[in-house]
Amino acid sequence: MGRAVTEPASHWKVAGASVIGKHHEAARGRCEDAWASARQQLPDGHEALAVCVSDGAGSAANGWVGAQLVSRVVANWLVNNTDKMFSADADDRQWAIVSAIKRVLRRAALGRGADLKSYACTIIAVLVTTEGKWLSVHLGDGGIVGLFDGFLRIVSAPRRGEFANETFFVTDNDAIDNIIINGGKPGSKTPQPQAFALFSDGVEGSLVNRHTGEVCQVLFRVFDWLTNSEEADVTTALETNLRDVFRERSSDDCSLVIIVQQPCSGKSTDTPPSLQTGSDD
Amino acid sequence: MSQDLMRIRTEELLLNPTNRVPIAFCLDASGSMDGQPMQELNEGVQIFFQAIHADPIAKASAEVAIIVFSDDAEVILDFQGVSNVAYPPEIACTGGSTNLGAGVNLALDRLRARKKEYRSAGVDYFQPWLVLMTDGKPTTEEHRQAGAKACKLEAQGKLVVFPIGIGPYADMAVLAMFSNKRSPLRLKGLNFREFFQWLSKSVVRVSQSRPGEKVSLDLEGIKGWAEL
Repeated sequence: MGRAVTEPASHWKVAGASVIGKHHEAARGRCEDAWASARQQLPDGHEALAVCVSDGAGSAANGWVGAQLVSRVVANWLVNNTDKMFSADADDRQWAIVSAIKRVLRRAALGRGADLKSYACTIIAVLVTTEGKWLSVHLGDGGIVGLFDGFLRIVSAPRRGEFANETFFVTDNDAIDNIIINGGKPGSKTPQPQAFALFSDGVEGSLVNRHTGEVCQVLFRVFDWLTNSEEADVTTALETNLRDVFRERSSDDCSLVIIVQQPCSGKSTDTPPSLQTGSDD
Repeated sequence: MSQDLMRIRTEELLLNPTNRVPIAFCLDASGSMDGQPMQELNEGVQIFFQAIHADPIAKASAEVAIIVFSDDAEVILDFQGVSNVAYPPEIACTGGSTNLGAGVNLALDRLRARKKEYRSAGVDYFQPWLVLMTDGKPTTEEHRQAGAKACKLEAQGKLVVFPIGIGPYADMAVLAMFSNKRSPLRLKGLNFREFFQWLSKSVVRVSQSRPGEKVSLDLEGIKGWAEL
Protein backbone atom coordinates (compact mmCIF):
# COMPACT_ATOMS: atom_id res chain seq x y z
CA MET A 1 0.00 0.00 0.00
CA GLY A 2 1.46 3.36 -1.01
CA ARG A 3 2.01 6.32 1.26
CA ALA A 4 -0.66 8.99 1.44
CA VAL A 5 0.35 12.00 -0.62
CA THR A 6 -0.40 15.36 0.96
CA GLU A 7 -0.79 18.62 -0.87
CA PRO A 8 1.57 21.02 0.92
CA ALA A 9 -0.27 23.97 2.40
CA SER A 10 2.82 26.10 2.43
CA HIS A 11 5.92 26.90 0.47
CA TRP A 12 9.44 28.01 1.42
CA LYS A 13 10.87 30.97 -0.48
CA VAL A 14 14.62 31.62 -0.79
CA ALA A 15 16.79 34.65 -1.45
CA GLY A 16 20.49 35.13 -0.83
CA ALA A 17 23.73 36.70 -1.93
CA SER A 18 27.49 36.53 -1.37
CA VAL A 19 29.70 39.53 -2.04
CA ILE A 20 33.45 39.90 -2.00
CA GLY A 21 34.90 41.59 1.10
CA LYS A 22 37.06 44.71 1.04
CA HIS A 23 40.14 42.75 2.05
CA HIS A 24 39.91 40.36 -0.91
CA GLU A 25 38.90 43.15 -3.26
CA ALA A 26 41.93 45.26 -2.33
CA ALA A 27 44.18 42.25 -2.88
CA ARG A 28 42.46 41.55 -6.23
CA GLY A 29 41.36 38.24 -4.78
CA ARG A 30 38.05 36.47 -5.10
CA CYS A 31 35.01 35.96 -2.92
CA GLU A 32 35.62 32.86 -0.81
CA ASP A 33 32.01 32.61 0.38
CA ALA A 34 29.42 30.66 -1.59
CA TRP A 35 25.83 29.59 -1.10
CA ALA A 36 23.42 27.15 -2.71
CA SER A 37 19.88 25.86 -2.30
CA ALA A 38 18.08 22.70 -3.43
CA ARG A 39 14.43 21.58 -3.43
CA GLN A 40 13.02 18.11 -3.56
CA GLN A 41 9.50 16.72 -3.69
CA LEU A 42 9.16 14.12 -0.92
CA PRO A 43 7.28 10.82 -1.38
CA ASP A 44 4.52 12.01 0.96
CA GLY A 45 3.84 15.04 -1.26
CA HIS A 46 5.56 17.56 0.98
CA GLU A 47 8.50 19.56 -0.22
CA ALA A 48 12.01 19.77 1.27
CA LEU A 49 14.24 22.78 0.90
CA ALA A 50 17.89 23.00 1.94
CA VAL A 51 20.13 26.05 1.87
CA CYS A 52 23.82 26.16 2.67
CA VAL A 53 26.34 28.97 3.08
CA SER A 54 30.02 28.08 3.15
CA ASP A 55 33.04 30.27 3.87
CA GLY A 56 36.36 29.12 2.42
CA ALA A 57 39.34 29.36 4.78
CA GLY A 58 41.58 32.32 4.00
CA SER A 59 44.71 30.28 4.59
CA ALA A 60 43.62 27.39 2.34
CA ALA A 61 44.68 27.60 -1.31
CA ASN A 62 41.43 26.07 -2.58
CA GLY A 63 39.15 27.33 0.19
CA TRP A 64 36.95 29.15 -2.32
CA VAL A 65 36.56 25.95 -4.40
CA GLY A 66 35.76 24.06 -1.21
CA ALA A 67 33.07 26.61 -0.33
CA GLN A 68 31.43 26.30 -3.75
CA LEU A 69 31.55 22.50 -3.72
CA VAL A 70 30.43 22.16 -0.12
CA SER A 71 27.50 24.56 -0.42
CA ARG A 72 26.15 22.60 -3.41
CA VAL A 73 26.89 19.15 -1.99
CA VAL A 74 25.33 19.92 1.38
CA ALA A 75 22.16 21.46 -0.09
CA ASN A 76 21.66 18.52 -2.47
CA TRP A 77 22.63 15.88 0.05
CA LEU A 78 20.24 17.22 2.68
CA VAL A 79 17.16 17.21 0.41
CA ASN A 80 18.04 13.76 -0.86
CA ASN A 81 18.51 12.34 2.63
CA THR A 82 15.59 13.98 4.41
CA ASP A 83 14.35 10.75 5.99
CA LYS A 84 17.79 9.86 7.32
CA MET A 85 18.39 13.34 8.70
CA PHE A 86 15.07 13.45 10.56
CA SER A 87 15.13 9.87 11.86
CA ALA A 88 18.74 8.79 12.49
CA ASP A 89 20.42 9.44 15.81
CA ALA A 90 22.84 12.35 16.22
CA ASP A 91 26.08 10.38 15.74
CA ASP A 92 24.85 8.74 12.53
CA ARG A 93 23.72 12.04 11.07
CA GLN A 94 27.02 13.74 11.86
CA TRP A 95 28.98 10.86 10.41
CA ALA A 96 26.81 10.59 7.30
CA ILE A 97 26.99 14.24 6.28
CA VAL A 98 30.68 14.77 7.06
CA SER A 99 31.58 11.56 5.17
CA ALA A 100 29.54 12.64 2.16
CA ILE A 101 31.26 16.03 2.06
CA LYS A 102 34.76 14.69 2.58
CA ARG A 103 34.20 12.11 -0.18
CA VAL A 104 33.47 14.88 -2.66
CA LEU A 105 36.36 17.05 -1.47
CA ARG A 106 38.80 14.11 -1.57
CA ARG A 107 37.79 13.39 -5.16
CA ALA A 108 38.30 17.06 -6.06
CA ALA A 109 41.67 17.13 -4.30
CA LEU A 110 42.81 13.93 -6.06
CA GLY A 111 41.79 15.39 -9.42
CA ARG A 112 43.98 18.43 -8.84
CA GLY A 113 46.78 16.66 -7.02
CA ALA A 114 45.99 18.86 -4.01
CA ASP A 115 45.72 18.24 -0.30
CA LEU A 116 42.27 17.78 1.24
CA LYS A 117 43.05 20.50 3.79
CA SER A 118 43.51 23.03 0.99
CA TYR A 119 39.69 22.89 0.54
CA ALA A 120 39.01 23.99 4.13
CA CYS A 121 35.66 25.74 4.56
CA THR A 122 32.75 26.07 6.99
CA ILE A 123 29.14 24.81 6.79
CA ILE A 124 26.05 26.85 7.70
CA ALA A 125 22.96 24.99 6.50
CA VAL A 126 19.25 24.51 7.14
CA LEU A 127 16.90 21.77 5.94
CA VAL A 128 13.13 22.45 6.15
CA THR A 129 10.01 20.68 4.94
CA THR A 130 6.59 22.08 4.22
CA GLU A 131 5.35 19.68 6.91
CA GLY A 132 7.16 21.74 9.54
CA LYS A 133 10.26 19.63 10.18
CA TRP A 134 13.54 21.48 10.29
CA LEU A 135 17.16 21.11 11.24
CA SER A 136 20.31 23.18 11.16
CA VAL A 137 23.78 21.90 10.32
CA HIS A 138 26.66 24.10 11.41
CA LEU A 139 30.43 23.76 11.50
CA GLY A 140 32.65 26.77 12.21
CA ASP A 141 31.81 30.46 12.40
CA GLY A 142 28.93 32.36 10.86
CA GLY A 143 25.50 31.59 12.27
CA ILE A 144 21.81 30.81 11.88
CA VAL A 145 18.87 32.79 13.27
CA GLY A 146 15.30 31.52 13.17
CA LEU A 147 11.91 33.22 13.53
CA PHE A 148 9.66 31.21 15.86
CA ASP A 149 6.24 32.41 17.03
CA GLY A 150 7.22 35.95 16.11
CA PHE A 151 10.52 35.88 18.01
CA LEU A 152 14.02 35.92 16.57
CA ARG A 153 16.21 33.25 18.13
CA ILE A 154 19.78 32.12 17.51
CA VAL A 155 19.47 28.57 16.22
CA SER A 156 23.20 27.99 15.87
CA ALA A 157 25.83 30.38 17.23
CA PRO A 158 29.26 30.94 15.71
CA ARG A 159 31.90 28.50 16.92
CA ARG A 160 35.50 29.60 17.12
CA GLY A 161 38.66 28.62 18.88
CA GLU A 162 40.06 30.80 21.66
CA PHE A 163 41.47 33.31 19.20
CA ALA A 164 39.68 35.51 16.68
CA ASN A 165 41.36 33.94 13.67
CA GLU A 166 40.71 30.33 14.71
CA THR A 167 37.65 28.39 13.64
CA PHE A 168 36.61 24.87 12.65
CA PHE A 169 36.50 23.48 9.13
CA VAL A 170 34.93 20.48 7.44
CA THR A 171 38.39 19.25 6.44
CA ASP A 172 39.55 19.02 10.08
CA ASN A 173 40.23 15.49 11.32
CA ASP A 174 37.69 15.98 14.09
CA ALA A 175 35.00 17.59 11.91
CA ILE A 176 32.47 14.94 13.00
CA ASP A 177 32.90 16.05 16.61
CA ASN A 178 32.58 19.74 15.75
CA ILE A 179 29.52 19.67 13.49
CA ILE A 180 26.39 20.78 15.35
CA ILE A 181 22.95 19.56 14.26
CA ASN A 182 19.85 21.07 15.90
CA GLY A 183 16.23 20.69 14.91
CA GLY A 184 12.58 20.22 15.60
CA LYS A 185 9.48 18.64 14.14
CA PRO A 186 5.70 19.14 14.38
CA GLY A 187 4.44 18.29 17.84
CA SER A 188 7.81 18.92 19.49
CA LYS A 189 8.20 21.54 22.21
CA THR A 190 9.99 23.90 19.83
CA PRO A 191 7.55 26.19 18.01
CA GLN A 192 7.28 25.92 14.24
CA PRO A 193 9.80 28.04 12.35
CA GLN A 194 8.51 30.79 10.09
CA ALA A 195 11.83 31.95 8.66
CA PHE A 196 15.60 31.47 8.87
CA ALA A 197 18.61 33.66 8.14
CA LEU A 198 22.00 32.05 7.48
CA PHE A 199 25.11 34.20 7.36
CA SER A 200 28.89 34.01 7.12
CA ASP A 201 31.21 35.66 9.65
CA GLY A 202 31.49 38.84 7.56
CA VAL A 203 27.82 39.53 8.38
CA GLU A 204 27.66 37.92 11.80
CA GLY A 205 29.01 40.92 13.73
CA SER A 206 26.21 43.10 12.31
CA LEU A 207 23.39 40.67 13.10
CA VAL A 208 24.33 39.09 16.42
CA ASN A 209 25.80 40.60 19.59
CA ARG A 210 28.50 38.06 20.47
CA HIS A 211 28.38 38.93 24.15
CA THR A 212 24.65 39.12 24.87
CA GLY A 213 23.24 36.96 22.08
CA GLU A 214 20.96 39.81 20.99
CA VAL A 215 19.73 39.41 17.41
CA CYS A 216 19.43 42.41 15.10
CA GLN A 217 15.77 43.35 14.67
CA VAL A 218 16.31 44.34 11.05
CA LEU A 219 15.81 40.67 10.20
CA PHE A 220 12.05 41.13 10.75
CA ARG A 221 12.04 43.61 7.86
CA VAL A 222 14.26 41.42 5.70
CA PHE A 223 11.95 38.44 6.19
CA ASP A 224 8.98 40.68 5.29
CA TRP A 225 10.65 41.61 2.03
CA LEU A 226 10.73 37.96 1.00
CA THR A 227 7.17 37.35 2.16
CA ASN A 228 5.93 40.24 0.04
CA SER A 229 8.26 40.17 -2.98
CA GLU A 230 9.68 37.89 -5.61
CA GLU A 231 12.75 35.82 -4.69
CA ALA A 232 14.81 37.43 -7.48
CA ASP A 233 14.00 40.96 -6.29
CA VAL A 234 14.98 40.16 -2.71
CA THR A 235 18.18 38.50 -3.92
CA THR A 236 19.05 41.75 -5.72
CA ALA A 237 18.23 43.77 -2.60
CA LEU A 238 20.35 41.51 -0.38
CA GLU A 239 23.28 41.84 -2.74
CA THR A 240 22.96 45.64 -2.73
CA ASN A 241 22.75 45.79 1.07
CA LEU A 242 25.67 43.42 1.54
CA ARG A 243 27.78 45.48 -0.85
CA ASP A 244 26.78 48.94 0.40
CA VAL A 245 26.05 48.45 4.10
CA PHE A 246 27.30 45.19 5.66
CA ARG A 247 30.62 45.30 3.80
CA GLU A 248 31.44 48.64 5.44
CA ARG A 249 31.38 46.89 8.82
CA SER A 250 33.77 44.05 8.02
CA SER A 251 36.77 43.43 5.82
CA ASP A 252 35.57 39.87 5.19
CA ASP A 253 33.40 38.40 2.43
CA CYS A 254 29.71 38.73 3.27
CA SER A 255 26.92 36.20 2.72
CA LEU A 256 23.30 36.33 3.80
CA VAL A 257 20.64 33.80 2.79
CA ILE A 258 17.06 33.95 4.02
CA ILE A 259 14.13 31.57 3.71
CA VAL A 260 10.52 32.22 4.72
CA GLN A 261 7.53 29.93 4.82
CA GLN A 262 4.27 31.17 3.43
CA PRO A 263 0.90 29.61 2.64
CA CYS A 264 0.43 28.31 -0.88
CA SER A 265 -1.95 30.28 -3.04
CA GLY A 266 -2.74 27.98 -5.93
CA LYS A 267 0.93 27.18 -6.35
CA SER A 268 1.73 24.04 -8.31
CA THR A 269 3.18 21.37 -6.01
CA ASP A 270 5.02 19.48 -8.71
CA THR A 271 8.07 21.70 -8.59
CA PRO A 272 10.98 19.70 -10.01
CA PRO A 273 14.16 19.30 -7.99
CA SER A 274 16.24 22.39 -8.60
CA LEU A 275 19.56 23.79 -7.54
CA GLN A 276 20.32 27.44 -7.13
CA THR A 277 23.81 28.66 -6.40
CA GLY A 278 25.42 31.96 -5.81
CA SER A 279 28.88 33.37 -5.33
CA ASP A 280 30.61 36.51 -6.43
CA ASP A 281 33.93 35.54 -7.99
CA MET B 1 8.12 45.95 -3.17
CA SER B 2 10.60 48.27 -4.87
CA GLN B 3 14.34 48.06 -4.33
CA ASP B 4 14.24 51.49 -2.65
CA LEU B 5 12.09 50.07 0.12
CA MET B 6 14.45 47.16 0.62
CA ARG B 7 17.34 49.18 2.02
CA ILE B 8 19.04 48.68 5.38
CA ARG B 9 20.61 51.61 7.21
CA THR B 10 23.93 51.14 8.98
CA GLU B 11 22.38 52.39 12.24
CA GLU B 12 19.95 49.46 12.19
CA LEU B 13 22.78 46.94 12.51
CA LEU B 14 24.43 45.76 15.71
CA LEU B 15 27.98 46.76 16.51
CA ASN B 16 30.42 44.33 18.11
CA PRO B 17 33.78 45.39 19.52
CA THR B 18 36.79 45.10 17.22
CA ASN B 19 38.92 42.00 17.73
CA ARG B 20 41.92 42.90 19.89
CA VAL B 21 45.63 42.12 19.54
CA PRO B 22 47.18 42.29 23.04
CA ILE B 23 50.91 43.09 22.99
CA ALA B 24 53.05 43.13 26.13
CA PHE B 25 56.38 44.94 25.81
CA CYS B 26 58.75 43.64 28.46
CA LEU B 27 61.71 46.02 28.36
CA ASP B 28 65.04 46.21 30.11
CA ALA B 29 65.44 49.43 32.14
CA SER B 30 68.57 48.36 34.02
CA GLY B 31 71.65 50.55 34.46
CA SER B 32 73.35 49.31 31.29
CA MET B 33 70.53 50.74 29.15
CA ASP B 34 71.34 54.26 30.32
CA GLY B 35 72.15 56.88 27.72
CA GLN B 36 71.78 56.33 23.99
CA PRO B 37 70.20 52.82 24.13
CA MET B 38 67.35 54.08 26.32
CA GLN B 39 66.90 57.16 24.16
CA GLU B 40 66.70 55.02 21.00
CA LEU B 41 64.33 52.57 22.72
CA ASN B 42 61.97 55.40 23.65
CA GLU B 43 62.05 56.69 20.08
CA GLY B 44 61.36 53.19 18.79
CA VAL B 45 58.30 52.80 21.05
CA GLN B 46 57.05 56.23 19.88
CA ILE B 47 57.44 55.14 16.26
CA PHE B 48 55.49 51.94 16.98
CA PHE B 49 52.56 53.92 18.42
CA GLN B 50 52.62 56.38 15.50
CA ALA B 51 52.64 53.55 12.94
CA ILE B 52 49.71 51.80 14.63
CA HIS B 53 47.79 55.10 14.79
CA ALA B 54 48.23 55.42 11.01
CA ASP B 55 46.33 52.19 10.27
CA PRO B 56 42.63 52.40 11.17
CA ILE B 57 42.12 48.65 11.76
CA ALA B 58 45.33 48.19 13.75
CA LYS B 59 44.55 51.35 15.74
CA ALA B 60 41.20 49.89 16.80
CA SER B 61 42.69 46.44 17.48
CA ALA B 62 46.10 46.85 19.09
CA GLU B 63 46.27 46.99 22.88
CA VAL B 64 49.64 47.56 24.50
CA ALA B 65 51.09 47.16 27.98
CA ILE B 66 54.63 48.26 28.81
CA ILE B 67 56.42 46.42 31.58
CA VAL B 68 59.94 47.47 32.54
CA PHE B 69 62.37 45.53 34.67
CA SER B 70 65.56 46.30 36.55
CA ASP B 71 65.86 45.32 40.25
CA ASP B 72 62.16 44.59 40.10
CA ALA B 73 59.39 44.78 37.51
CA GLU B 74 56.83 47.52 37.02
CA VAL B 75 53.86 48.16 34.73
CA ILE B 76 54.32 51.67 33.34
CA LEU B 77 51.45 51.36 30.86
CA ASP B 78 48.70 48.84 31.56
CA PHE B 79 46.71 47.28 28.74
CA GLN B 80 44.67 49.75 26.78
CA GLY B 81 43.86 50.48 23.19
CA VAL B 82 46.59 52.24 21.26
CA SER B 83 43.84 54.60 20.07
CA ASN B 84 43.61 55.89 23.68
CA VAL B 85 47.33 56.59 23.98
CA ALA B 86 48.50 59.64 22.06
CA TYR B 87 52.02 59.38 23.46
CA PRO B 88 53.43 56.34 25.28
CA PRO B 89 55.03 57.03 28.68
CA GLU B 90 58.76 57.66 28.61
CA ILE B 91 60.78 54.70 29.83
CA ALA B 92 63.33 55.80 32.40
CA CYS B 93 66.49 53.97 33.29
CA THR B 94 66.31 52.97 36.95
CA GLY B 95 69.97 52.11 37.24
CA GLY B 96 69.43 48.73 38.87
CA SER B 97 70.13 45.11 37.96
CA THR B 98 68.45 42.88 35.32
CA ASN B 99 65.58 40.95 36.87
CA LEU B 100 64.40 39.56 33.56
CA GLY B 101 62.30 36.81 35.16
CA ALA B 102 60.29 39.27 37.25
CA GLY B 103 59.58 41.30 34.11
CA VAL B 104 58.35 38.30 32.10
CA ASN B 105 56.29 36.94 34.98
CA LEU B 106 54.57 40.31 35.41
CA ALA B 107 53.96 40.57 31.65
CA LEU B 108 52.43 37.07 31.54
CA ASP B 109 50.24 37.89 34.54
CA ARG B 110 48.95 41.04 32.84
CA LEU B 111 48.29 39.14 29.60
CA ARG B 112 46.33 36.47 31.45
CA ALA B 113 44.29 39.11 33.29
CA ARG B 114 43.58 41.00 30.08
CA LYS B 115 42.34 37.87 28.31
CA LYS B 116 39.99 37.28 31.23
CA GLU B 117 38.67 40.83 30.85
CA TYR B 118 38.13 40.29 27.12
CA ARG B 119 36.18 37.10 27.77
CA SER B 120 33.94 38.65 30.38
CA ALA B 121 33.25 41.63 28.10
CA GLY B 122 32.59 39.40 25.05
CA VAL B 123 35.52 40.80 23.11
CA ASP B 124 37.25 38.47 20.64
CA TYR B 125 41.03 38.57 20.57
CA PHE B 126 44.02 37.29 18.66
CA GLN B 127 46.98 35.38 20.10
CA PRO B 128 48.78 37.64 22.60
CA TRP B 129 52.32 38.79 21.85
CA LEU B 130 55.21 39.12 24.27
CA VAL B 131 58.06 41.34 23.06
CA LEU B 132 61.07 40.82 25.32
CA MET B 133 64.11 43.10 24.98
CA THR B 134 67.26 43.08 27.09
CA ASP B 135 70.90 44.11 26.73
CA GLY B 136 72.43 41.91 29.39
CA LYS B 137 72.28 38.82 31.54
CA PRO B 138 69.65 38.16 34.20
CA THR B 139 70.81 38.80 37.73
CA THR B 140 68.34 36.38 39.34
CA GLU B 141 67.25 32.81 38.58
CA GLU B 142 63.59 33.75 38.22
CA HIS B 143 63.97 33.76 34.43
CA ARG B 144 64.15 29.95 34.35
CA GLN B 145 60.65 29.52 35.69
CA ALA B 146 59.38 32.47 33.60
CA GLY B 147 60.97 30.98 30.47
CA ALA B 148 59.35 27.60 31.08
CA LYS B 149 55.97 29.32 31.51
CA ALA B 150 56.37 31.29 28.27
CA CYS B 151 57.45 28.18 26.34
CA LYS B 152 54.49 26.20 27.67
CA LEU B 153 52.05 28.89 26.54
CA GLU B 154 53.81 29.08 23.19
CA ALA B 155 53.60 25.29 22.73
CA GLN B 156 49.85 25.46 23.44
CA GLY B 157 49.51 28.11 20.73
CA LYS B 158 48.48 30.71 23.35
CA LEU B 159 51.42 33.10 23.05
CA VAL B 160 53.73 34.54 20.40
CA VAL B 161 57.15 35.46 21.79
CA PHE B 162 59.70 37.82 20.24
CA PRO B 163 62.97 37.59 22.22
CA ILE B 164 65.29 40.42 21.16
CA GLY B 165 68.85 41.08 22.29
CA ILE B 166 70.22 44.62 22.39
CA GLY B 167 73.95 45.14 21.83
CA PRO B 168 76.87 42.72 22.12
CA TYR B 169 76.35 41.77 25.78
CA ALA B 170 72.81 40.49 25.54
CA ASP B 171 72.79 36.84 26.64
CA MET B 172 71.21 35.13 23.65
CA ALA B 173 71.27 31.71 25.35
CA VAL B 174 69.06 33.09 28.10
CA LEU B 175 66.72 34.76 25.60
CA ALA B 176 66.43 31.41 23.80
CA MET B 177 64.84 30.01 26.99
CA PHE B 178 61.70 32.07 26.31
CA SER B 179 60.75 30.53 22.98
CA ASN B 180 61.09 27.12 21.38
CA LYS B 181 59.60 28.32 18.12
CA ARG B 182 61.43 31.57 17.46
CA SER B 183 65.20 31.97 17.91
CA PRO B 184 66.21 35.19 19.65
CA LEU B 185 67.48 37.91 17.33
CA ARG B 186 70.10 40.50 18.10
CA LEU B 187 69.29 44.07 17.18
CA LYS B 188 71.65 45.40 14.50
CA GLY B 189 73.39 48.29 16.29
CA LEU B 190 70.65 50.39 17.87
CA ASN B 191 68.13 49.84 15.08
CA PHE B 192 65.14 50.19 17.41
CA ARG B 193 63.38 52.37 14.86
CA GLU B 194 63.54 49.64 12.17
CA PHE B 195 62.49 46.95 14.64
CA PHE B 196 59.43 48.81 15.88
CA GLN B 197 58.43 49.74 12.31
CA TRP B 198 58.64 46.05 11.37
CA LEU B 199 56.68 45.08 14.49
CA SER B 200 53.91 47.58 13.75
CA LYS B 201 53.56 46.16 10.21
CA SER B 202 53.22 42.68 11.71
CA VAL B 203 50.47 43.95 14.05
CA VAL B 204 48.66 45.46 11.05
CA ARG B 205 48.77 42.08 9.29
CA VAL B 206 47.40 40.21 12.28
CA SER B 207 44.65 42.75 12.97
CA GLN B 208 43.40 42.27 9.40
CA SER B 209 43.53 38.47 9.44
CA ARG B 210 40.35 36.44 9.24
CA PRO B 211 39.32 33.08 10.71
CA GLY B 212 41.42 30.27 9.35
CA GLU B 213 44.10 32.60 8.11
CA LYS B 214 47.65 31.96 9.28
CA VAL B 215 49.61 35.19 9.40
CA SER B 216 53.21 34.83 8.31
CA LEU B 217 55.79 37.38 9.42
CA ASP B 218 57.75 39.50 6.97
CA LEU B 219 60.99 37.52 7.15
CA GLU B 220 62.71 39.70 4.56
CA GLY B 221 61.93 42.77 6.67
CA ILE B 222 63.79 41.27 9.65
CA LYS B 223 67.06 41.86 7.80
CA GLY B 224 66.50 45.60 8.29
CA TRP B 225 66.94 45.43 12.03
CA ALA B 226 68.43 42.07 13.07
CA GLU B 227 71.86 40.56 12.84
CA LEU B 228 71.27 37.32 10.94
